[in-house]
Amino acid sequence: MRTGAEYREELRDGRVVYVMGEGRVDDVTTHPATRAMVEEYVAWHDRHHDPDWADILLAPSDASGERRPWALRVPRSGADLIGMGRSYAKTLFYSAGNITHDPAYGHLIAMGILNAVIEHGAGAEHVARARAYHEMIAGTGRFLTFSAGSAPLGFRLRPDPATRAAVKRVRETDEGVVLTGRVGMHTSPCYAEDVYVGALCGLQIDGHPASFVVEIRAKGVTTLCRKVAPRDPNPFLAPLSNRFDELDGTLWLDEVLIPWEHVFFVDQSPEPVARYLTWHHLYNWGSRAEFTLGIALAVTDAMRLKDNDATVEYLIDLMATVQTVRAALTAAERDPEFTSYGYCAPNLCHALAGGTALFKARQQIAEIMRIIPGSSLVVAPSDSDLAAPDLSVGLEEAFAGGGYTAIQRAALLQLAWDHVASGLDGRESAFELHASGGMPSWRGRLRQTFGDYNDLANAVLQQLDCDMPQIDLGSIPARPMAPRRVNAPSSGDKK
Amino acid sequence: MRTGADYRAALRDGRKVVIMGGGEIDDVTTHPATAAMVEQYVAWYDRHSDPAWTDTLLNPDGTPWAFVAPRTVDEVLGIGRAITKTIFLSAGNITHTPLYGHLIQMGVLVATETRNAGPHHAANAEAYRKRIAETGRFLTFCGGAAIIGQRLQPNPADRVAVKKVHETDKGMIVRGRLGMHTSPAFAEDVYVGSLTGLQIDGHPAGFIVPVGAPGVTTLCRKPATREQNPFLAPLSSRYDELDGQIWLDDVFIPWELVFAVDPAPEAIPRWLRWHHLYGWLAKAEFTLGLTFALADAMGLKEHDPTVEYLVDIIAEVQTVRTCIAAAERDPEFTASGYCVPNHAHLAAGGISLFKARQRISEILRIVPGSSLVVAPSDRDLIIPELAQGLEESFGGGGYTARQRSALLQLAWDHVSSALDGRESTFELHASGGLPGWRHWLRRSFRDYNQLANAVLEMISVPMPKIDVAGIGTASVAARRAVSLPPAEKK
Repeated sequence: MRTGAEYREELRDGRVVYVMGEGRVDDVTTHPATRAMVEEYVAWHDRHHDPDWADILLAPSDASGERRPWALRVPRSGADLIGMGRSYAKTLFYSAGNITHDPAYGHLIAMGILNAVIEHGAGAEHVARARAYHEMIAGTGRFLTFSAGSAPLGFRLRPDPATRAAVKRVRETDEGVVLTGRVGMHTSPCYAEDVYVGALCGLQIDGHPASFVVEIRAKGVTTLCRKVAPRDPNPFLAPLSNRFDELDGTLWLDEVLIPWEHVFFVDQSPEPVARYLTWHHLYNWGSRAEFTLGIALAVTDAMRLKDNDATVEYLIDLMATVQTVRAALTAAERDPEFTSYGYCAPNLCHALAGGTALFKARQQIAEIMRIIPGSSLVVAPSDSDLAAPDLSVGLEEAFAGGGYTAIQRAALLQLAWDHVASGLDGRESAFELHASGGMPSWRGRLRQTFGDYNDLANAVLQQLDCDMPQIDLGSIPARPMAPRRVNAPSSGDKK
Repeated sequence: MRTGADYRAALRDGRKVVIMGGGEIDDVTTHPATAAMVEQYVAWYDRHSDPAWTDTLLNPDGTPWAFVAPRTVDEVLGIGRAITKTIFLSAGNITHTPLYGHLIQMGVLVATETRNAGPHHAANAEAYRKRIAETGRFLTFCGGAAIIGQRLQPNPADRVAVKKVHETDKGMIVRGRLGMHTSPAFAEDVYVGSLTGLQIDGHPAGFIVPVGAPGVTTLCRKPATREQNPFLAPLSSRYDELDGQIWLDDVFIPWELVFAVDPAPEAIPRWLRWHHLYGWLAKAEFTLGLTFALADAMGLKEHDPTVEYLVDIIAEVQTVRTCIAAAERDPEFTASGYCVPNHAHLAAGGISLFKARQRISEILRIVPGSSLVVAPSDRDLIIPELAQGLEESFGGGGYTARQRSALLQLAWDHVSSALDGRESTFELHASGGLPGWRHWLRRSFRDYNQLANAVLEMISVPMPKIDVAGIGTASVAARRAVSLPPAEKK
């Protein structure tokens, strides 16, 4: 694993980055809109060299005596999944679930590309390409992020259906394919080095849906990041927002050469690529829920509510959700599946049950966090208020006591506010409702992976004392996922 | 494992059984209120000799999974598989079986070990457990709580379920009335828990009383009201396990059936909650199976809203399956090495299902449409002046009217019958209800302090060290107290 400094240096690669509302960013490592997140990724890399983190982030010694990162592990057993999962849980919690994309996630994308290419069955040459790319990622820790490949809205509203795809092929050469286009939402492109663009981009080569990996620094690539989540510049008031805004974005391609070794034939659906990502998403949502529970417990202590029955009932509400997700992850890893090529994969049915449960619970989780502190959450002071001579005595009287100073209690309340009532919180919700397809996709995946339709339907018929038709419900899981919604172009341009 | 016929014969032991509204029963194996359930238990035993069930019900050594004392994950998985396959057969209505009785005694055994009031208690508990394993004897469970009238006694000393009348060298003589428990008319023994308040040498005590012992009277609740025609009540006519109470009138309990036990809420139910969750899962899976079958029978497999309803139930079923899988594969171990499904995972599954069960039933009532309400019986279908019209109304699409009606009546019996009402009422009390499961989660959840202190690392101000572990170690909520009126009402 490279060092954080080496990663930081890699980002000074001439990439063209814009942040909405901020203009062009010459150097993401120093610009105020991006540098804090760069330092979080620097810390992510350096943690792998920190002895305190070794047992969490590094696998046991291999035959050569080397301890390699769980982040870049190819799982071949349930024990591998458990080790990888533990490393995700610990690192994701560290950002309260706000940093969803990191090189570990990129490695899972690369494994998913390999899975998708094998499932598509375009031939050994294509499998070898995907395997080589995956091995490069696993060997270097290069930071890959993911776009399904869908087009931005303007493309989808074009009158001519043939022009609604995200990218179009300009020409082919011996070295690769030259593409032009605009690719829709994905995450952390200005901090990553490569973007996987899925087959929803509409590219077809030799009759196959094609996906590809593009380098952020490549000539002709422009990265447009969304506006920064508004935040108070004072870290006391925004301890999370000032550090963990990973910035989603879109990608513009202007005659960009994609070498053939980075072009992958896959099914158009992104689902095979997401084979391992669903598991990581659940870890991420679980870490956010655990962080919320952690703050709720801390606030319960700080507000001296440990013996308040109503508060404890709220805590149990949170625990029930957190424990359901923990159970889902435990079952997914300890009751795994194996791919045809020998990789161990988390059992999707278990993971999907956990994700569906959490999707339903997340609004209530946030509301409970807003309820427990009482209205002190709304009126808590900043550190600068507490230092103001004309306010300090009064604020100390108002917020201190019970083993906490006013600044300690206020710091905790501001952390809670930043976690569940900030622009960063709003972004997290808006993002997660789309990033992995939202609740409809998780339910659709559960419909497809649930295994006992006919067994259950025919088993209940045994209670009946008459001959019954044999039931076949195989069409229900076989139905495709709901199609992506279609934006209807208007009959004429509005003026 | 004894045969079903052996079990049936064992029930003719002179037991005194009264059915509310039905009077005393001379022979539970032949009385109309109880004969059908006896035959279900007969089938339970005989299934162990059926080659088609061997791989499900017997371990590789040929021992019934029902009577294995689990020490490994594989053994827990084997027992779990046996539970889920058999409990589904009754749509989750038969919650108490000899397997469940063995799990009760496993809990008693470990509760004697953790109480540690003397080696003879654990030795006696293990001897009784072995007796169950060797004979297949059917044990059921009573917490030991007093009935409402006893709890309203003016003298607090009289507010207990059971009193010790006297002791001898061989045992104790007890007298009293014990509150709700399940299947006493079909079981051979009842474990009576320490909620009786009985003490042995200063320790909370439980005891086992044979249902057929002199002085024991079993009072079963009224049967769930049902149609006599099995076509209309295919479940109700077979799976009413009958809850009840027992009265003890100077009943002798030998010392080897008296156990000093740990009164902690986790002690005796250590394995039982796992079984409870399997029971609830079976009901939910049966509901899902019925909904699948009705989606087919009503021609709704391609109907998007129907499929969404199906996914709603799938999500609930899969969540419980997932929690059970986690509990079995990430277990805990007792000090003496027994393997116990992880309670934190189980509690999450139980709470999830408690919240979902009403909705699951409603979806099954929704999916068939109003045909569910007006479906005919088999007798209506053969009435000459109705037959053709009913065939036109209910036949078609690959189903005869009789087939479709049979399925609709099965659905009705599952989620709109008195048996369904009994199941709901029973489960809201039997294992403590949702408050009980939430409390068990509170006690089994880990990481209170780790989570609370971990979030403080986001704050640059030095913070106090937080200790909220007390939330997880709180004692179980006291049973609700009844208030006595100021004076006896006339």
